[in-house]
Amino acid sequence: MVTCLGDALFPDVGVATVKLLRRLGVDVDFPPSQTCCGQPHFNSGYHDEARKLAMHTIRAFGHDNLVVTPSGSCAAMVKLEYPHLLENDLVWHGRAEDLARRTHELSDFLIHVLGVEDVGARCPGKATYHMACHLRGLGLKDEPERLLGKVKDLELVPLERFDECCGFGGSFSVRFPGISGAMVEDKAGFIDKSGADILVATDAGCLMNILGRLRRRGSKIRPMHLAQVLEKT
Amino acid sequence: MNDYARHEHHDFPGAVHQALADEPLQAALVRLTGTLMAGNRRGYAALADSDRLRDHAKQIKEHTLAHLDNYLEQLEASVVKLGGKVHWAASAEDARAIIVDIARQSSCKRAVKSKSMTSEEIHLNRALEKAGLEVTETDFGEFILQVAGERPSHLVAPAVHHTRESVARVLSKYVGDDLPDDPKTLALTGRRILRQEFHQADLGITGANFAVAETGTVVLVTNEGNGRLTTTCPRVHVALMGMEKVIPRLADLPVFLKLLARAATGQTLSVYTTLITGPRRPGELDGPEEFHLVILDNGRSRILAGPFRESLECIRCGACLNACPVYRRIGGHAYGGVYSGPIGSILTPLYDSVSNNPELPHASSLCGACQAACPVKINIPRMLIGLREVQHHHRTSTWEHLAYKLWSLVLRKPRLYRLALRFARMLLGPLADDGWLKRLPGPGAGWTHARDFPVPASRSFRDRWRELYAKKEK
Amino acid sequence: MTSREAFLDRVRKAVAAGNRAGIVHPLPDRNGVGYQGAGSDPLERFEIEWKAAGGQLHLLHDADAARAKVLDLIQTHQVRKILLGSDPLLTTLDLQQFLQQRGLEVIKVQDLEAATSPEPFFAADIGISGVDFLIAETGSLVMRSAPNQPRSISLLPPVHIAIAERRQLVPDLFDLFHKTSEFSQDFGSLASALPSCLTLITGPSKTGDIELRLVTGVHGPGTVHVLMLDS
Repeated sequence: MVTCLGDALFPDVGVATVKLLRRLGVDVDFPPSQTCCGQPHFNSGYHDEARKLAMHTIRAFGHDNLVVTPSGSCAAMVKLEYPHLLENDLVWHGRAEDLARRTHELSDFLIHVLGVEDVGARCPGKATYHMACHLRGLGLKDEPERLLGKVKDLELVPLERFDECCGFGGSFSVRFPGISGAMVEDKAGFIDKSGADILVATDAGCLMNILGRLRRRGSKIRPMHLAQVLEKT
Repeated sequence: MNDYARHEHHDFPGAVHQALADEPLQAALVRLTGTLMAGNRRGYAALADSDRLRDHAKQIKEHTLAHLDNYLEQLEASVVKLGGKVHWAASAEDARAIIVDIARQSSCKRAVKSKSMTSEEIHLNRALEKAGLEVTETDFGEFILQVAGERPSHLVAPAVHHTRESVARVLSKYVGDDLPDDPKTLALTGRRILRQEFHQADLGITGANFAVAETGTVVLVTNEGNGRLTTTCPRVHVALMGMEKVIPRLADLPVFLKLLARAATGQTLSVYTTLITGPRRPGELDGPEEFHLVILDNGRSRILAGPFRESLECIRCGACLNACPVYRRIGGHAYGGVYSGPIGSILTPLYDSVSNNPELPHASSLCGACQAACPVKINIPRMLIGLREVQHHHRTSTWEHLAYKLWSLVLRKPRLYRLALRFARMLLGPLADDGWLKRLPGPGAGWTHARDFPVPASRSFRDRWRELYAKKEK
Repeated sequence: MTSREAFLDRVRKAVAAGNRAGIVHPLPDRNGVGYQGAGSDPLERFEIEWKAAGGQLHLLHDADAARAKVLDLIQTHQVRKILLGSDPLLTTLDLQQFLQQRGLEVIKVQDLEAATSPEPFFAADIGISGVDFLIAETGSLVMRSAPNQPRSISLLPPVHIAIAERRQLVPDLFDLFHKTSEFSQDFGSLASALPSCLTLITGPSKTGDIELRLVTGVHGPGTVHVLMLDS
């Protein structure tokens, strides 16, 4: 599942994910009718539309295969909210639960399904890691860090308040620019303070938000999605 | 100092704006939330099976709410058996009238109060004063606020928005003397003043952190001891509780005690955990002669009946406030109501009204830090989203709804979607500088107020899939 | 319909409306979850937690040492008026005579009457009591109100001395509530077995209301000494 942000704004992330998985011996397919998991609609309270998008997505991934997505927020939407959204539908509830079971965020897939921590990556540089909020809801704790720890020549430096929200939150960033701006400014400040030249995160939304602020500040820090770091050799 | 500190209000955007510009407030909030969150994490880490214990606590609350009428009846029977009296207050107005009546019937003239957010909810102090009683808040922070005429801004540290200098000013005016701004001197001055009040009061009013149905026990959790003094010195004790505070058995109490202090501050227990079971017994030298329990509805039954019942599981620890990146930046007064932070963003629209508080459910990035910190794992993000949905039932078709509908339609028709992407690329591409936009029109301006926005890639992932797919075939 | 009946009726209807069909919420068994115990040395655990909360602890081997320590603390705190509890342990230590012989003013709780009692409570500089239990896991004292153990003794004087014995240590908070149910052996029902006021005390009183700076002694005792008898 490449996600709408991944498809439109950060296609390199999807490409890196496919290449990484193939290198690890996974057969990867891309069901073409997928577009968006419906989270923006769900979060904004348009649940009828969110339900339609959920059904569309469930249909798109209607085969039996596992689904991997380089996005904690989309994985959370499918795994946690699809069954809840469709709980009153006798037919779709079962299908939602089925897709929820089969869907994995990337680091979850690598560590808990493939059982690997060292993916044979090499990415020279000094990186700092920002934890995306949705990993919390998925019950993931340090999986991305464990994977990053095994990347050759990559020095990891700690990020102050690394698990604090970057201020994206979808429509929140547009409705409350003052608060969201303060949050992303703090985050950018901590990133600068860390001394890293690479910022790693597992979600395109976070990266888009933080990078947008870093650019405004004139920072030269390179953003990389976890998939892009792990894909490098 | 914050204009919004004094009254309930609905100007959320204005209050937010003021709070963000208030540098001393920002510093105080960072210090408070940082310290208490570190305590919260330490507290859970030090408690064996804290995760499973929280699940267990949640199950107790779910069960209790599903049988609330039975447990309230059992609680009443237990209290009455001990010689206490139970009063049923359907609304805030009823509660005020009941308590004023108790004071009158028992000839009370001076009341001391231990911290009770429920009493704030019903605006009790004003009613008691109108009835001719002197009322004094005894939690030191609440006392400062009472003197300053302000409202609390945090559940556990109500006067967090004050500095030592502002406290010195408030207390100096009260005592008519120039006090130094040293915390110890100020706190001991407070002690001296309030000790007099405890001595002379004939009515003690508290809230109730928990009420045990099996034994009729009301539980108070404090650090200062004002809860104990309020229920030891005066002749009459009135405990005011929201009806959702009841728990089934005495054996359930330590489950919540183990979690409450740890979640709130990281302590194993607060300094004083007081279990009050009826008035003083024959032969005892202190303690109240009369014990009254006032059980309050005030909108809770409506919440109990609906999809937001989970919000009634809250044990008022304040952990969600400390975890919330939004609370950290705007403080408690901005929320406008009695309860602030994440739980307040749900309770205020539900207790007051959804239409009066349209922004609160949206003032969240849904990061989930609140749920992760909550001792009973309340799914606050889901309820905030639920409230956003409820809001749409009020307004049938706004342009926003139409926009989302159109967007959803495009997303379900892949050909339309690809067309829309190409269109966006064509429109925004020329405006970009190195692939990024410095200014978006309309609602998007909120984004570009603080950061750049990326332009859609010249080739989307699905465009590139064809090559990737071809590579696979090889 | 009375206000009580109307209230409960509304709750009953709300419960029914909000309960979801086919979903049951049983009252769960804890099955030991969350029990920490006190490890191999409960006294050590108690000492760590009690001191972390700001309490003071003195280990003593016999009655003489206990009496000497009480005198020492009284002199350190420059105490004039002493409020002495009637706990059996205090009686066996014969503290009243010991202190009065040294010219100190001792007010015994058992000599007080309900009508005049608040004044001595407010006037005392130090309160000396026993305890009912100590909890090792949380570092807490447990005190039950009774005619011979008023609430005020551990609350009003600015200094509190609690004399305890090692055997009063209970490993975990859950154990205390189990113990509380043991009271029902003496009484008919659990409700009448709990005292009018049961207090768990975990350190000296404190407030952080001004800039989070901790100040002790607002409003309860700012200093609490536990004298633990090892005999």
